[in-house]
Parts: sequence; C-alpha cells; structure tokens
Amino acid sequence: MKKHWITLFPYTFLWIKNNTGFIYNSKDFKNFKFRLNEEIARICHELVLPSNLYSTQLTTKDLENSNVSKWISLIVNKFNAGYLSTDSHKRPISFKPGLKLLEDKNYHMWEHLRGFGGNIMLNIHELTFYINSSSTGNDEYFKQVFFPLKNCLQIDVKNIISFIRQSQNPFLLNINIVGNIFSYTYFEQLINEITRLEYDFTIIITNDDLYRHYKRFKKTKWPSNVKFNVIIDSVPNYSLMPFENSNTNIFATTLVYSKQDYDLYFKHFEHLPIYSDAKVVPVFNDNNLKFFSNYVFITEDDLDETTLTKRDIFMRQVINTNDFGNLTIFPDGHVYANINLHPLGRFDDSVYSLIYKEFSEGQSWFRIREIEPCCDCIYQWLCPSPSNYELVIGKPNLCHVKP
Amino acid sequence: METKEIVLYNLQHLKQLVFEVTDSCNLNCNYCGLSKLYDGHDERLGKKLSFEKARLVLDFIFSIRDYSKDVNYPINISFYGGEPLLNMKLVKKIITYIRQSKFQEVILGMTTNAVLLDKHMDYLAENKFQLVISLDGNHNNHSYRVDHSNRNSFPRVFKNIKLLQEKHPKYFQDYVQFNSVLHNRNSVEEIYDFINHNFGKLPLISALNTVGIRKEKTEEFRKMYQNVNESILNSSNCNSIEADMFINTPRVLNLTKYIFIHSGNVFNDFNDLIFDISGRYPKQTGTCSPFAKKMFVTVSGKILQCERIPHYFSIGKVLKDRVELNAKDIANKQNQYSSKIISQCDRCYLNKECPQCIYNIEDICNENPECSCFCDEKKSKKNREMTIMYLREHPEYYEKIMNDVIIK
Repeated sequence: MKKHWITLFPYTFLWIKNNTGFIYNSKDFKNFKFRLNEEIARICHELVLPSNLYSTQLTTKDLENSNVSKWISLIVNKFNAGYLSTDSHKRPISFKPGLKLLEDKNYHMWEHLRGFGGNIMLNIHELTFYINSSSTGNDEYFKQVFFPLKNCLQIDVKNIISFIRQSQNPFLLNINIVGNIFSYTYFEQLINEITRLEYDFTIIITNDDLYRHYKRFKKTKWPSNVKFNVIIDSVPNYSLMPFENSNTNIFATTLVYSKQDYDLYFKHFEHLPIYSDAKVVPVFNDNNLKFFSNYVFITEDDLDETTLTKRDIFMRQVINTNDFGNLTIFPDGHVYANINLHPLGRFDDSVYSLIYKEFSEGQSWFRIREIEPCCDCIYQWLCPSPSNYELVIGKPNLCHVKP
Repeated sequence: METKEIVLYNLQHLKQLVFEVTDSCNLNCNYCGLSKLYDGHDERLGKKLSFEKARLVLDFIFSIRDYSKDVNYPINISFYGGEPLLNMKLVKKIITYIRQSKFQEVILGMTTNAVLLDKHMDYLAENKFQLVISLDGNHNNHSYRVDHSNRNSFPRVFKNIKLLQEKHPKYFQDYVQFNSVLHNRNSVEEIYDFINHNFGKLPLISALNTVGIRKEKTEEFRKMYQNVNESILNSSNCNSIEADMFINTPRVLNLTKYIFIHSGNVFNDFNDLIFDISGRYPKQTGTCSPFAKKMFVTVSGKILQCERIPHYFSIGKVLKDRVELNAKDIANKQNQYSSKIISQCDRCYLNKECPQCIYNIEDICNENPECSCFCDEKKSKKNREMTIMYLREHPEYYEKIMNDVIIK
C-alpha cells in the first residue's frame, strides 16, 4: 500500500501563531501566510515535531480534503516542500531549521562557574570611546547614533589604552573614537597608541569640528588604520565640506529629521561625491514621530521583501544584531553594552567582568523580539533586532504590522 | 593553510599541555602504542622528564598567554607516560610550581593503568585530577595488560579502583573515566557490562591503533584487532548499548558529525554564527592546526602537537635554558606536508568530515603519499546512505543530539 509523505526542506521555516501559519523560504526569500484549519494545523504540528524530522505521513482522508491538497500543492509548487508517494518503508527525512550553538550563553556561564571563561572575550567586536565634549555636540543624539557629546568630561588616554589592551582578541574589528579629537588634551599620545595597535580605528567627529580644524587635520600624519566618519547633523551644511576628492578614508553620515531633509540630502549628494562612502540616518527628535511612522517604521511590504538567510534568522533568534559585541565607554567612566540601558560597570573594572555581566544579567546583547507584541507576530524572526530607536521612542516595536 | 599568526594564537590560547613524565611503565601491555608492536616513537629507555624542562615549558606558555585582568582561559595540564604514577615526585613538583607561581587556575588530568593508584589516590582526589583509568573489562578481558613478569594486572587494578570508589566516592563519581581498548579478548558488550555493573560508568572504547605497526608484527596485530562497530553489532543488546553509550559509539558519532556538518543548524559559537568562520577557512585534512588542541612534551624534551603523532615529527625542543619553537617554521612544515596530499583532498568527498591526521599517514614522508581515508563519490554516497538509514531507524536521536551533544 502506498504511503504519502510531505517533507519540508531544510531551508524552509514554518512558523505557527494562533490560527495563522507562515512559510519563509530562506533560499529564494519568498514567503506566504495561510490560515490554519484543523487539518492543516495538525499536519503543521506534526511536521515540526523533532522526532518527525520535518516530515509527516498524509492519510487518504488528508489527500481527499480539498483544503489540505491545495495547501500541499502550494507549498510543493513554491519549492518549500517535497511530496512523496511510495511503496517503500523508507521515510523521508529533513532537518528542520533550528539553531544549535555549541558555545552559547549557558556554556559561557558554566565555564565561568568552573573558574574559566576566557573565551567569552572573543565576543568583543567593537569598542566606542566618547573621549571629550564638543561645542557642536548634542546630549541626546548619541542615544540613537554615534554623535559627540556637548557636556562631558574628558577621558584619560591611559584608560582608553588599558581598556583596549584588555579587550584584544581576533574578532575586535573596530574601535570608534567619538568627540572632538582636535581639542583632546592627549591628542599626540592617542595617535601614537593608535599607530602601535593593529586594530582599525574610526574617528567620529562633527562636520563643524572638522571644518574648524581643517588645517590641523591636513597637517597630521594619520596612521593608516584610521578612518573618519564625519557627522553632518544639518543637511544644508553638506555643502560646506572642504575636502579634496581623494579622501578614501573619510566617509560621511548625514542625519535627517524629515522627508524634506532626506530629499535635500539626495539633491546635495549628487553634486558632492567627496567621500569614499556616505549614508543617511534618521534621528528622532520628539517632533517627528510622523516622519518615522511614514518612512522608518516597518511595513508588511518591507518584510515581504526580506532576503534573510537561515543564518541571518538564527542570529535574530539569539542575539541583538545591533548591539552584540559592542561596548561603549563614556568619559565619566561608565561602560555600556547599550547606552540607553544601565551601565555594566566602569572602565576600571576588568573587561572580563563587564562582558560576563552582560552575558549573565545584561539586557542589550541578547535583547531579541521575544516580548509582546513581537512574540505574537508571525514576522517575529524576519523583523530586524530591536534598535535604539525603539528605546528612545519608548515602543517595543516600530512597525505597522503589530502597531 | 597554517600561518605564523594562527600558530601563535593557538599557543597563546593553548587548551591542553601534556607532559610525558616518564617513559617507564610498570606494565608491559602487548598492544601498547609504545611497545615493540609499533614504530615511530622514541626508544623507551627508562627516562624521566626533568623538572627544569617542565618548568621552562610552563614559563614559556604562561609568558605568552594572552591574559587580561581576570581573564582565565582554561588550560588542562595532563600527565602521561609510560605510567605517570611512577614519577609522582615530578607531577607534585610541577603542580606546586604552578600553584606557587602567579599562574591562573588549571585543570589537572592524568591517564593511568591504576597499578599504583592505592599509593597516590588521596593526592589525586585532593587535587581533583580528571583521571582516565585504562581497564579492558573483566579478568580475562584485561589479560593483555600484563606486568613485566607476564602476570595479568587485573586483580591489583580492580582492587585499587574499588578502593578509590570507596574512599573518595564523590571524586570517583565526578572525575574518573574509564578507557578500554578493544581486542580479541573482549567485546564492547563485555566491557560495557563489566564497567557499568561494577562502577556505574560508561567506558570510552577504542580499537587498537592501526597506524605505525611494524611490518614483522602485522600478523600479531591482525589477531588482536577488533572493530568497535562490528563488536557493537554483534552484541546481544546492540540497541541498548548504543542508546546508553550514545556519542561514544561509532554510528551515533557518525550521525552526530553528519548532523553537525550538513544540517546547517549547528554553529560552534557566536563568532561562527556571525562571521561564518568555517566558510572562511575551508578545512582540508583532519589535521589539527598546530597547538589548537594541545601540546605534548616528551621525556627528552621534544615538543609535538599531540601524543598520537610519531615522535620524529616533533616541532620544537626544550633546550637547557629555553624552549625552541618557531611559529613560522611550524606553519610552513605543516603546510608542506599538507601540500603533498592536497590534490587527493580536492578529489575527496569527506571534506570537513575528514578524520585523517597527516602525521598518521604511513608514507607522508614520501614524495607521493596516499591517504587511506580518501573517499570517492561512490563511497561517500554509501556512507551517507548508511547514516541516513540509521537516522531513519532512530529519528528520536536527532532531538537528543541537538539538545544534549557537544563535540568539538
């Protein structure tokens, strides 16, 4: 007697929320939603049972059910599943996408309890030092984007170097220096240390500060591992850039607050191709929620156009892809995994203890979409990790799907 | 492709340092890897490793370790022989030195035949040694493990292990493992039953090493050899042995490797998940990157990547006043050996599943060595089919492997 099997492919995600099913194909990036009637719900629940290996046997009754057979045809025709009708006793098998991380959060905590745990340090990927204040800084923008502070102390270069030395590991890919480096008392020492260290550095400075110190900028022999990220916080200022065309290590970030800013940016950018790279970043300023709602909030259409691989989805299921691996050090000595949340400690604490604290108690690196309303959303794992915008605006999600 | 930087990183983060504290042994096991059955090891001359040499290696390792404040990378200091309990004076001196120095906490380990266990068990238990005891099963199963008068060591060994279990039950439960060698006088079933029944533990069972057998001893070897998988299949309770010993049985291990490599669901750590490390460094051959797993120091001060590699492949030396290791030369040397079989790797279907260490390829020193693990498309397909078939028979193992198993 023939047996009939339906098997989802290993790159097909099947998510079930209440009476809705959702299939996402991480190979061709297509997805579709479907209503779960009793029969389809049963089949879906059988498919996701680990011991069923993403396959289930269909009964004759299932095949005679028009809803079921239509659904089967749909998922097969869309290359999400295979249908097998066979006399053989061999059951088909497939591996349901589900992450297994050998050295996960619990592993590191267990290592720590054993008195070891050095490998946790390999998770430091980026350091950001706010070194001093800038007259053109802002004490709010830094909560959303890299932006110099207006009122703050100055960090001693020794603390910066000590912190970097403790954080050294092959996955430390970039170190940001934010502030007005030209008014930094330890300018020479910092540049010397940067030259000695083999990491990439990005100096983040406002357009105005750089403009004012342009002569010194030109005169300084910058180490080859230094790049500049020039922040333009007002689009019309874009035309003030004094650089020549050959600055391959300078890129620009322009902050926009409205649709007009955004349009103006593109108008200017077309005529001023002076940076190796340039990007535009929206900033919330308490008065532009409508702009955010119209242009930043995620829509169902955005999610339908998602092109996430299986690995991308796994990442979103376990880490905050915006925050993971990042530490920010403020001039007052506080160290943050995310500057909108409580500090982990101070720069004179051991870096190990800070990282361990984030792994064991932190709310930043592992802040994923597991709370309401996201946990009830069928798009839960297609949606980007929660960002600083959510924290600043005070909403758990910025979307029109589950407003 | 090995580089100086990778070798240095491995040294800085060394996970295990193994000292061969003596090449003497109070037993004369017929199948021992250091016996006359095998080639490739230095002649056993009753030597002992000197404390000075051990100290130089420890100083060297700890001086280059990439320590930050509070950071403690796990390092396992293990003692090997010969029979390491024959040189406990040195073992104790090394541990005292580690403890008195500013070095960080270490994990201690030892592999022993347990003949002298009664004399040293208090010290081992007190210092929480991870102890691997060699025991091949019951009296008859153990009969290749003889002393120099050809007497079976079983009665003494068994008595000592029971004494350890009685005197230090918690230590015994948490830190003691059994390693059994499979041969023609035992079977997986007998070993499993004996150790499980007497000590409530699951043994690690390995077959005789098939590499480096002296030509004139081939026949003797053949008589003794038994395959682990075949022995399991021949047992009366095959399924329950596999379910119980799980990852320590070949078929479950193969299935696990298959799932880890081919499911696309398993990642080593956050960096592997984020940066796709495995994709960046495609692995050819099953050879470890030098010092990625361990460093082995012989009694005469030769430095090797592992105790299982013939001694003539040493990649460093402990001199009178220093340790001589050249990361660049070590990387180049390994690359040279790898390059000899790279054309076979290109055609081989094992890829990341390759278990072959190049230093255990019999003719790796020749111009055109041949890899005995080479797997063509047909063989690969067959292996794959067998693994899938096994999974079909045991679909419940997928969940168990995904939830409970960690192999590195």
